Amino acid sequence: MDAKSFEYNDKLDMRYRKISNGLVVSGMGIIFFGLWSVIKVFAEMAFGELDLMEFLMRDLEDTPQMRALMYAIFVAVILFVILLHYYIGRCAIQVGTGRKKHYLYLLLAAFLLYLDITGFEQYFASEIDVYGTQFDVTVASFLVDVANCATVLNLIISSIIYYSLKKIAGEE
Amino acid sequence: MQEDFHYYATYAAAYLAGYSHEEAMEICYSAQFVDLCSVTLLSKLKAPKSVATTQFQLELMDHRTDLVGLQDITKIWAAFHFLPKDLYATKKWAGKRYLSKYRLICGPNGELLKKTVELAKGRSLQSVGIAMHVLADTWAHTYFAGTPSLVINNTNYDFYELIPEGDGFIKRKIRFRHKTSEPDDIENGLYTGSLFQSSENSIMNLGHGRAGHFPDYSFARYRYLPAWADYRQVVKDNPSDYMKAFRQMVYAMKFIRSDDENFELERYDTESVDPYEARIKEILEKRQLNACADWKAFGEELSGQTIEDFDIEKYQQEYKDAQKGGKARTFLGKFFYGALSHKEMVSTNIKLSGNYLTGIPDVKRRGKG
Repeated sequence: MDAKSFEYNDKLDMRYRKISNGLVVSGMGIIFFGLWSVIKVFAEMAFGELDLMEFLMRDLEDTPQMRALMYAIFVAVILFVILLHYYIGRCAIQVGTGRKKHYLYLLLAAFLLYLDITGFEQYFASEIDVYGTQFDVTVASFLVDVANCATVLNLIISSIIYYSLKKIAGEE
Repeated sequence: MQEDFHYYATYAAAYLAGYSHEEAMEICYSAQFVDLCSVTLLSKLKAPKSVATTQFQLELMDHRTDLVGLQDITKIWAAFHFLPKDLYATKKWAGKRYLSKYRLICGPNGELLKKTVELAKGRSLQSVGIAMHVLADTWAHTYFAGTPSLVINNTNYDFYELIPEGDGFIKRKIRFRHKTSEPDDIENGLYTGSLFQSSENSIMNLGHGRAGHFPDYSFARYRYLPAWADYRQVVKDNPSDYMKAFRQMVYAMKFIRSDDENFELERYDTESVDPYEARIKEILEKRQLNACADWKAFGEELSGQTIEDFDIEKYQQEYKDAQKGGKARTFLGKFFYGALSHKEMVSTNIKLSGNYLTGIPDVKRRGKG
């Protein structure tokens, strides 16, 4: 047997590899964006853009118990965001490298995409001050969110194509 | 390739090509010296730095990677270790910048190899040694380019070794780690490779760094996805390729000694090598990190003489002691002259193809990209 017989280069194989690689890259991107979402919040606090207490306690009775509860909810939300992104990203990477099969992550990715798209409303909710000091930050933030959406969308589409190709190849 | 092939195997090939023991020693010393002649060594010898044939890790770490820096790196690596196969290769949808790097992909039996061997004809044994090093590396370093480029030289997790078992092969995934203090682990498929760097021109993406030392092992058969191949797999069969490299070296050296004027590509010696084919195959297929002992034993059997172990300092004192006008006549002086000639030949040809990676082209060739 010739070692060259181990080359599998028909069109289906090449497309399959391309999509698998896309899944891996999207998965890593999702994990990164999850971390970035959290870092962004802390950065806003550090730069004085966001007063956490004021934000959390808005319209609530300011008691020590309520503060403790809101802090706990804040931490839980942060952890949820990180874990959600991490789970989706990790599943995509495992599927892309052929290590495991996952399906739940697709639903969660669709949910994440919905959240991301609805989140764009914040950019159009009020008039944008083009000459303001925050305009460039707003634009940068918008572009990052668009990239985030594109990554999630790419992940979903790549996953669908990946499983379709596997079906065609008769591995399902 | 490594010392076992560049030094000992080249000795054996030179002897089979008809050179005497002493001549074969000069040739194989020069072939191995190509991997050691760095700017650091040249500074120590007070020799011109333009004749460097390699760059060590510490030198590369400090090296700039702007256009000028890239040209310096490419001039050395493309000339001596990753001789381009086809300077006029084309690829659909490829822009000029990508194509410049794509055309530097190394492979055997390219036009530049023909020019390399023909350049060595009628010249010193040191030039022959340099040519043999370059020839041998075209086989080991196939599919990689001698310029730092992520989009050409990167590899990914899809990297498998094909290990002979019975009449066929079993496929085993190779894991690369960046741990230069640990030797490669053949048994467990664990090899040292360079770190992933997303920067296109990072030094980590030079040559076969991403695959570590693995392509230089004669026993290696592997399948992987080169970054340039658009998701096509390539299989590299080193035992077969190294055998061709050895045969081609014998033919090349016979050509150099003969009156023929045209070096034929894709021609491999059979007359002198066939009697030893089984023995050579055994050495090439043996799974070991270093085959020096086996090649040395083979070479000594051929010639009946002792092959000295490679000593980097062997000719240094001669060069240092020579007077200014006499340095060119020393062993190292002849080596430096041969290296410079070869480097100039390769750089000029790359420039003439319209590629700016070894210097700004003087003449733009139209019609061939």
